[in-house]
Amino acid sequence: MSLHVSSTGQALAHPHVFLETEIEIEFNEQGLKGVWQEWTFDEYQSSWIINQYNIDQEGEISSQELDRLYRETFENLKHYDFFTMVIVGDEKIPATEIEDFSVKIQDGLAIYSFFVPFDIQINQGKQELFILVYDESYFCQVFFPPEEIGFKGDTSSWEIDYTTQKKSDLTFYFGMVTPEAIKLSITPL
Amino acid sequence: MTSRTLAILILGLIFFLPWASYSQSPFQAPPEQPEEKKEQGFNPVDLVPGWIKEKGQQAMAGIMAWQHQIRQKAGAYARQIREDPWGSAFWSYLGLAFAYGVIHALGPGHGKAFVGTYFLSRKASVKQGLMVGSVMSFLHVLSAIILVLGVYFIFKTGGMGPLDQAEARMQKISAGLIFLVGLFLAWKSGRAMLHGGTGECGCCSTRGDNKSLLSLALAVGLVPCPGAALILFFSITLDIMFAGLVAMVFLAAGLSLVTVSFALAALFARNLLARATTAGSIISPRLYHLPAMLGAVLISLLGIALYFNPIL
Repeated sequence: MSLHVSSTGQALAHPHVFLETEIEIEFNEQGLKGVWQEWTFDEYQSSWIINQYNIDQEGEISSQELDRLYRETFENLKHYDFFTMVIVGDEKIPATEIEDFSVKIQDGLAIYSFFVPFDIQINQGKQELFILVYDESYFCQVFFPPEEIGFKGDTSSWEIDYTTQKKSDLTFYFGMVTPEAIKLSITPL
Repeated sequence: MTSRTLAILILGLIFFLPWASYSQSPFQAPPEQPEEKKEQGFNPVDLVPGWIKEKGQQAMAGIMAWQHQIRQKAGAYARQIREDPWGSAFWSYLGLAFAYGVIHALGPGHGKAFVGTYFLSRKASVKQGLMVGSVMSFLHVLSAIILVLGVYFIFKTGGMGPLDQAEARMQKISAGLIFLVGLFLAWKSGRAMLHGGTGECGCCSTRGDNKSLLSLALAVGLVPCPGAALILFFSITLDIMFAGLVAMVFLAAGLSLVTVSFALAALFARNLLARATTAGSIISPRLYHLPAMLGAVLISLLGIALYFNPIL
C-alpha cells in the first residue's frame, strides 16, 4: 500500500489541463539512459502559453522568453517529479531533473519537449521496467501512454518487448483514476 | 447584518484568507506539503467493491476523453469567432455551452442531491421545483462569472491557481451554509412534530416554503460552477469575452434543465409514495412530519460530507 494521502486539498473540476504525450525511450550500453518526452497542451492552456510568452505565429520564441517560460511554467514540476517515474521491481525511481527543454507550436498547440535522464543499469538476464507519466494532484489529465512508443540510442544491444499495464496500486483522485504504465521487458543480446 | 456586509465578508474570506490547504497549479507553485508523501494503511476508497471502482474509473476515463474533445472543438470555434464574431461558430459555441451544461450537471455536484432530498421529503409545488432548480443553477453560474471577472481584473493573472483556490474556499462556505439550512429545516420539522397534527398552520408546516427553498438554493448555488468558470476564463484567454459571457447563459440553461428535472422527478416520486402510503391508512400525526425531518437531517449530513469531500 503506497497511496498518497492528499486529504481535502484537491479541489473541484479537476483536471484543468489536458496534455497528450509522445515518448521515445533511449538506451545506452548500460541500460535505460532516459526518456524523451513531448507534451502537447490543450487549446486553452496552449493559447495561454502563447499569449503569456509572446510566441509568434511561426512558433518563434526569444531565448529570454523561453527562460521565463521555463522558470514560470516548468521548473516547478521538479516538486512533482516532472510527472515521470520508472519502477524497477519494488523500487520507484522518480524523475529528479530534465534536460534539453524546448517549446514549439504546431497547429496552434504548444508542445514542450525535454529529456528525462534515468541511467538505470540492466545487469540481469531479463529486466522488467515500468514507465509512468501522470499527475497525482490531477491538475492535469495526462494521456499516457501514447499509441506509438519510440526507441532510440543503443537499441541493438537489447531485445526490447513492451506492453501497457494499469498500475492499480497507484490509483489516485479518490480512487477514480488509475495510471497506465509502459511495461518494458529488456534482455541483453 | 445587512446582506451587503455579508457579501463583503464572504468575498473577503474568499480572496484574502491564507489558502494554505488548497491545491495549486503544479506548473507554478510548490506542493502544499512536499514532505508529506506518507504510506497509509487505510483508505475509505478501499471499502468500495472492485467492480464499482472499475466502472467508475471507466466512466471517468470516458468523461475525460470527452471533455478533451469538447475543449478542442471549443478552441477551434473560438478561433473562428475571433475572425467572424457573429458567424456560425458563435452559435455553435453557444450550443456547445448548453450541451456542456447538461452533461456537466450530470456529473458530481450541482445540487442534485439537495433538490432530490428536499423534494422527496417535503410537500411542494411544481412551480417551487422549477424555481429552486433554476435559481440554484443560474446562481451557480453567476457566482462563477463574478469569480472569474474578479480574478481576471483584480489579480490580472492568467493562471488557474487563484481560481481553483477560491472555488475550493467557496465550496467550504457553501457546505457550512447547507449544514445550517438543514438544521433550520430540522428544527422546523421538530416543532411541527411536537405541535402534532398534519395541519398546515403557519408556525410549523413542513411544506416547502419559498423562504427555506431559496435559502437552500442560495447555499448550494453559492459555489461557483467550475465548468462555467473554466469556459469563461478560457473565453477571456482566447479573446472572445463577449461570446464567453453569452455562453454562460446557455450553460446555466443546460444546468437548470438537469437540476429542475431532478427536482421534479423527486417531487413526483414523493407524491406517488405519499398517495400509496396514506390511502386508507391512519398515520400518526407525529409520524406525518418524519420524512421532512429525515430529509432535513440528510441535507445537514450532506453539507458535512461536502465540507470534507469536494467531489461529492
